[in-house]
Amino acid sequence: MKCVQVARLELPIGLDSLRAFHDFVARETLQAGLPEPDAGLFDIAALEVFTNIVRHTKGLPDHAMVKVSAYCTAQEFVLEVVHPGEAFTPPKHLPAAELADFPEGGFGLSIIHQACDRVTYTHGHGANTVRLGRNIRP
Amino acid sequence: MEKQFSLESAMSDHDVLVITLREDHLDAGNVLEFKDAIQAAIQGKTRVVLDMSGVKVVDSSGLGALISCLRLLNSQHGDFKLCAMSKTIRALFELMRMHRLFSIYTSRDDAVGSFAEVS
Repeated sequence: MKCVQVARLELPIGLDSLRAFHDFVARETLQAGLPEPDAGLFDIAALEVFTNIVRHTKGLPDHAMVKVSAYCTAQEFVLEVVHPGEAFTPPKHLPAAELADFPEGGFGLSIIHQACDRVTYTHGHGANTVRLGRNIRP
Repeated sequence: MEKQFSLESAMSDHDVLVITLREDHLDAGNVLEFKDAIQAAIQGKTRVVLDMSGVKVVDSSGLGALISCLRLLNSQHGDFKLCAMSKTIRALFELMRMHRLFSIYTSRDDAVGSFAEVS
């Protein structure tokens, strides 16, 4: 296990924060020793989470911030994203995109679930918490 | 000031327009600018290769924009081919089964040359 400390970042919720968010996640997946392309795909999944927060969260207060933590357990690398706003209900089933229709959207959740080994969502005390986990292979 | 997506385009062999992205991210943060820039570049063209050698990150918004280009070119009886992807982006395309939708080549020369087969 290479990431023994919890790394933290706090950013304004907006697309202007996307690059700083990605750079943080990429640095931490590298530090954790996730192999490619797993690390890169995990980074993209994290981007999808951040973009969904920006685009879809209801009830965001002015100047809302997102708090990001990255750490390792014995088995996995974990990225935790906490943000204010109303609770939401993640879809239970992901409809497979029909490629013959040339779909131009709807890939985000699919990327999140396929690029991560574990995805959890909780809501409490006015905050939403999304945790993404990727197994660390010895 | 309005943001612009930086790309270069040049005609190559077989009447192929090669577009090279000068941004290393194609994501929700710049996808609207990308769409504006590439739609202007491919206007009236039917043979287009997108050189992705400088691109490190593509997200779902970027995938959607690329499919939009493919759809547009196909509707004009043309084709939109991709080349020089990083391993991560190639893995993303495979994860989302997009590699079945696009013609993807290792190098720019291979992508441009593939149009010769249909000349």
